[in-house]
Amino acid sequence: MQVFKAFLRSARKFLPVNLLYFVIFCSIAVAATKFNIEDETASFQTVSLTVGVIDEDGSGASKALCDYLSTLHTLTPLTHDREALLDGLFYRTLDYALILPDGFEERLSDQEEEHLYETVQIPGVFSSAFVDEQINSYLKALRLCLAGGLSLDDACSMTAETLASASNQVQILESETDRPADSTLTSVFYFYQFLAYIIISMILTGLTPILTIFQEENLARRTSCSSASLLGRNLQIALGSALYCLLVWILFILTSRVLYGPAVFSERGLLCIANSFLLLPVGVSISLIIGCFSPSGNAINMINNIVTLGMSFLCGIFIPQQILGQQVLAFSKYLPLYWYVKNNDLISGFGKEAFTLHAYGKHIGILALYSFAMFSVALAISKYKSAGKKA
Amino acid sequence: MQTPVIKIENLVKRYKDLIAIDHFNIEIREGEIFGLLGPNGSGKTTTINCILSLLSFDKGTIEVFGKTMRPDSYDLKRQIGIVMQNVAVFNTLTVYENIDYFCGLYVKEKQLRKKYVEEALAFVELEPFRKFYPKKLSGGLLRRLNIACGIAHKPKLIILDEPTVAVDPQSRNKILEGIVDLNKKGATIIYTSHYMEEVEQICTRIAIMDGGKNIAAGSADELKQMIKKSEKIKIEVPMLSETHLEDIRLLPHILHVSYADGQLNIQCSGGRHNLVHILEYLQRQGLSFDRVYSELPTLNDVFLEMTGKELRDHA
Repeated sequence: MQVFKAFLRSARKFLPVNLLYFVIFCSIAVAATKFNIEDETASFQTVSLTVGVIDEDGSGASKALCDYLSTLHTLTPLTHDREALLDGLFYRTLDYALILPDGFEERLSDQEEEHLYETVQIPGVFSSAFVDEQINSYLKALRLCLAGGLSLDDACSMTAETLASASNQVQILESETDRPADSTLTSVFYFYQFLAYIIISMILTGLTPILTIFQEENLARRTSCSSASLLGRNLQIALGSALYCLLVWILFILTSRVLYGPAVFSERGLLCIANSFLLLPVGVSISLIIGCFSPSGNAINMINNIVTLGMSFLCGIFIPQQILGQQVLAFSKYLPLYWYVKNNDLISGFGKEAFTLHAYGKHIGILALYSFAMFSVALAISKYKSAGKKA
Repeated sequence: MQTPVIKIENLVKRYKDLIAIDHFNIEIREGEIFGLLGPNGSGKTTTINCILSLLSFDKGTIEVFGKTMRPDSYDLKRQIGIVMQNVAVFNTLTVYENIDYFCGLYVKEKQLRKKYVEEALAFVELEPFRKFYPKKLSGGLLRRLNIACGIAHKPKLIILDEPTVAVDPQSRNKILEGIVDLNKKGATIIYTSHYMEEVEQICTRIAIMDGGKNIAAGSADELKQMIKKSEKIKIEVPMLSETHLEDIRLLPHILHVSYADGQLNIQCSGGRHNLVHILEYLQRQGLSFDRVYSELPTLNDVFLEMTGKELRDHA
C-alpha cells in the first residue's frame, strides 16, 4: 500500500489549505443560505405612506375619502401651495400627493369618472400604486352605493363601513409543489444547494494537486519501472481519492447536522444527502481530467475556479434555475450539476416539478452516467498520453 | 556459459524519420560496471528506456536476466534499480518517506524495508536530512536522494542514467565512489554519461555510442588500443636540428614529430617506454631539455578518431 500511503502523506501536506477552504466555504454556505431565505418572498407587510392632501372641494364626500385614507396612511393636509407639495415629494417628506379639486362631490354625484381628482407621485416608487388602488376601490364602492339609490352621505358611510369590514389579512399562497413550512428544512435545502459548489471546489482544490503529483512525468516513469503493478498502483490512488472525498463529504454532512439539527436527517434531508453523494464521483472524474494535463499549482487553482464557478452559475446553484434563461438551461443540461440542482429543487419543492421517486431516481441516474462518462474520458486521455510517451 | 544480465540484439528505435537507435548490440555480464558513453542525443537514454520497457521499439530483442523484458515483467523489474536522469521524487514527502516509498514498491516486509531505508540513507550520507523535504535540499543532495531511492531495495542490476548532471565536483566524487561500492557489494551497474572522465574512472567496460550506434566496446585500455594515436609527448628543447627530428622519427612507435617555438611534439602509436627512448636519444646527443609532458590518449581521442568529431563538443 505504498502508493496509498504516499497519497495520504501528500494529502497531509495540503491539509492546512484544505481546512482553510473548509472554513471559508462553510462561512459562504451559511451566509448564502441565510441571504436566500431572507430574500425569499415568504412574508407580507402592509405599507403605510405619508399622503399629502389638498382638499380644494372641502365637501362631505372629499372629507369622507380623506377619512378613509387616514385609516390606511398618514395624511398630511396641505394648503393650496403646489410648490410646497412638490418640495415635499422631492425631499421625501411626502410619498404621495392627492388633490381633490373644487366640484369633486358634484362630479361624484353626477357619476362622472374622469378628472375627479389628481395625484402627484414620486417616479419609480411602486408603493404609490397601492394608494391608487385603494382610492379606486373606494370610489367604485361609493358609485355602487350611489347607483343603488343611497344619498351621498349614506353612500359614504356605507362605503367606509364596507371597506373597513373587508379583511385585510393576507394569505401567502404556497406554490403548487410541496414546499416545506419549516424554515430549518428550507435552510437545509439551501445548504445542500450550495454544497454542490463547495464539495466540487474542495475536491478539485484538494485532490487535483495530489493526482497531478502522481501523474508528473518523471515520477510516473520512475514508478512504472518498479515491480508494483499498474493496476495495483491505480487502485491505491483510487482508494486514496475515494477516502479523501468521503471524508470531505462526511465532514459537510456533520457540519449541516451541527448547523441545522435533526432536520438534516429527516426524510427529505436524507434524500438531499443521497443526492449530494453523487457529487463525489463527479468531482473525482473532473479532477482526474484536469490532472491528466499535469497543470502547475497556479494553473490548477485557475482551472478549478473556472470549472466550479462556471458550473455553479450555469447550473442554478447561485441563481435559481427558475429564473435562468432558456438558452442557458439548454446548455447547462449537458453539465452534471444541472441534474443535481434539479434533484435538489425536486426534493425541496422549489422547482416546478412535483416530487416523485421516479424523477429523483432518474436524475440520480443521469448524474451517475455523467460521472461514468467523465471518468471514461479521463482514462482515455491518460491512456492516449501514456501511449504517446511509449511510442 | 553464464547468462548475461542484459543482452540487446539489433535494437532499432525510430521516431518517424529519425533513427534514434540503429541496430544496437550489447551484452552486459554480471558484476560489470558497464558504461554507455556518448554525446547528448546519441541514444543512451533511449536505450535505457527500451531496456526498462518505458519505450516501445521497432526491431530487435532485449533480454534481462535471460528473459524478454515487457511492461508487465514485474519479476524482472524487482531485480532492477533505476536512477533516472531527471530527479524523480515526491516534493510532498520527506527524504525518509521518499526512500521508504520507492523501496516499498519492491519490498513488502516492513522491518526489512526499514533496515534497507536506513542503509540507503547511510549509503548516500543523508541521515541528517531525513526529515527534510526535497525542496530544502541542494542539487547535490537531491541527486543523492534520487540515487538512494533507486538502490534502497538492493537490486541486482542498477541503471544510472547520467546521475551526476549538474552536480558539484565534491558530490560527484561521492556519487562515483558510491557506485563503485555498490558494484563491490555485488550489483551489476549500467552507467550512462557524457563525461568521459567519469566513465573511464569507474567502468570496467564501455560502449561508445554515436547516432544510435555502438561504435566501439571494451575496457578503457582496449578502446584506446583500437586507435592509432597513443601517447602524446611534449618536451621543451631550446635547440633542435632537422637531422635530430629525422632521427627521432626513426625511433620505434613514433607516429608524428613536429618542432615549433622550442617545443618538440611527438605522437606515438602504441608501444611502451616511448618517453624513455626519446629522452635517452636527447641525452646521447647532448641536447639539453627543460620540462617534459606525457599525455596518454583519452576516450575523447578514441571518439575523435572513430567519429571525426569531439566528444567534449557535444557534452
